[in-house]
Amino acid sequence: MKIIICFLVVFVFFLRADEYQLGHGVRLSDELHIGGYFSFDYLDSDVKRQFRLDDVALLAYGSLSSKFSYLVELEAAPFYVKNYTTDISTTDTTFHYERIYLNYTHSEMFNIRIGKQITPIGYWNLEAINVLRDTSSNPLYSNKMFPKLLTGIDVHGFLDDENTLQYHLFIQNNDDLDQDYININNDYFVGASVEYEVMPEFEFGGSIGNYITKEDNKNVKFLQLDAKYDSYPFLFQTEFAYNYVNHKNIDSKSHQSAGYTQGLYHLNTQHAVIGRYEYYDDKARGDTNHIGVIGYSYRPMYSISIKAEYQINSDSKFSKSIISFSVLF
Amino acid sequence: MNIRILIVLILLELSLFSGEYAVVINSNSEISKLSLKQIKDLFKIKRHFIESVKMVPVNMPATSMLRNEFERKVLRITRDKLNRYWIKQHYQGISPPIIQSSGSSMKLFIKNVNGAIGYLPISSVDSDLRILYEF
Repeated sequence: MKIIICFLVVFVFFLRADEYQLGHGVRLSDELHIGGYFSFDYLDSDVKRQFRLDDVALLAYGSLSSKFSYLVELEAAPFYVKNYTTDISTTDTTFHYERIYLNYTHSEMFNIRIGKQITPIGYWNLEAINVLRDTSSNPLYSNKMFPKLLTGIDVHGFLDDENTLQYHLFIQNNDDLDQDYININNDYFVGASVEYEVMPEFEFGGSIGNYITKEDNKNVKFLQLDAKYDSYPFLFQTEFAYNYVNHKNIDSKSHQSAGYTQGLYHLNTQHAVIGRYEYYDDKARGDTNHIGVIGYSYRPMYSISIKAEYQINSDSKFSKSIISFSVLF
Repeated sequence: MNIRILIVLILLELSLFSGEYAVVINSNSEISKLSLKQIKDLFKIKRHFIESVKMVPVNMPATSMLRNEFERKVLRITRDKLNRYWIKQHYQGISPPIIQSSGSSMKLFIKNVNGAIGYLPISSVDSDLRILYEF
């Protein structure tokens, strides 16, 4: 309860700050900007009906000098869950380090980020919070194929004068900073990604990498590809990943693949309709899903997102409706 | 006679299409030329350096007509779309360029801060500033 009150106090402080614009945070000084976000969602399917206060997060960032900057993000998720099917409520008010890193900006070609950070792969992974997404749900691709977060070093920059070809080289050779708070717990993760901006509206790229999971000792080599076309009122993006999995504990090899293609059409600056096809195929578990999503997004302001969607799953008992409300402040 | 008319027409056209405003830096800077994409990237904090100079882009207040013209003619983006862009950047820990409240404070800032880049009416550009792009 104390945490909710603190969170509300911070939120109200933001709303009362001079010249504050919702979604832009508050700039207290060059060294300190603060902000945060939260989201609620309600899910209804044949097997589950639940309400969640999913994300409650605060972030702080700023410049320490002309070359150094930092970001810290603390998040509690899911903060509160009410499962109407089992009639059980759970609350988890533990705040975790979602991100904590230091940037060293050396040149356009060479920069370093060290600490816990979002893995620089694709598009979905980089806009990982409800309010920035166009659907309430995430495609299975985003959770199953590679660790979403990296506790290590990312060297990145541009390889050409016009900044159209971007690269990342990243490595983690240790435990995650918070092993209870990552989609795939691992103690080794190395990869490289490139993104090429063909024109302001169109870019494509890909990644390769290798990681070793902590609990079941799987050695996974992955290949990922992505492309995006963004020209108002249309937005199309697609991502695909293929994993070659060596189950070292049981001396067995398998592969998995997943991908999605999503299209969005803006009816105007506030309303949009979304369609998505996604699939996930895990040969080792014999698990194959095909999912179609149709959704509607309403943003009274860009930093406030109200969304509704219906998912049609090839396993019909997992078909579901989701509505959500999220705010970035 | 025809040549005279042609020269007059060319001069007229040049005066019609030359800009009222300019992107400027300190005249002591080593930078003499920037592409439109480099200017866009600097003001969207997608680029930090030109050659080895750490750049400091400076904006006018959001209500400024000069800023509106800059966003329309140079950044070529609507205020709504730019607002979406900065909201996404806020989550990434990147904040927009600093703001100077008037043309004179913008001018003073550019003169005194190495790497500072801003925009002003051409009529107020003096010998301490260098024009990189007219709009």
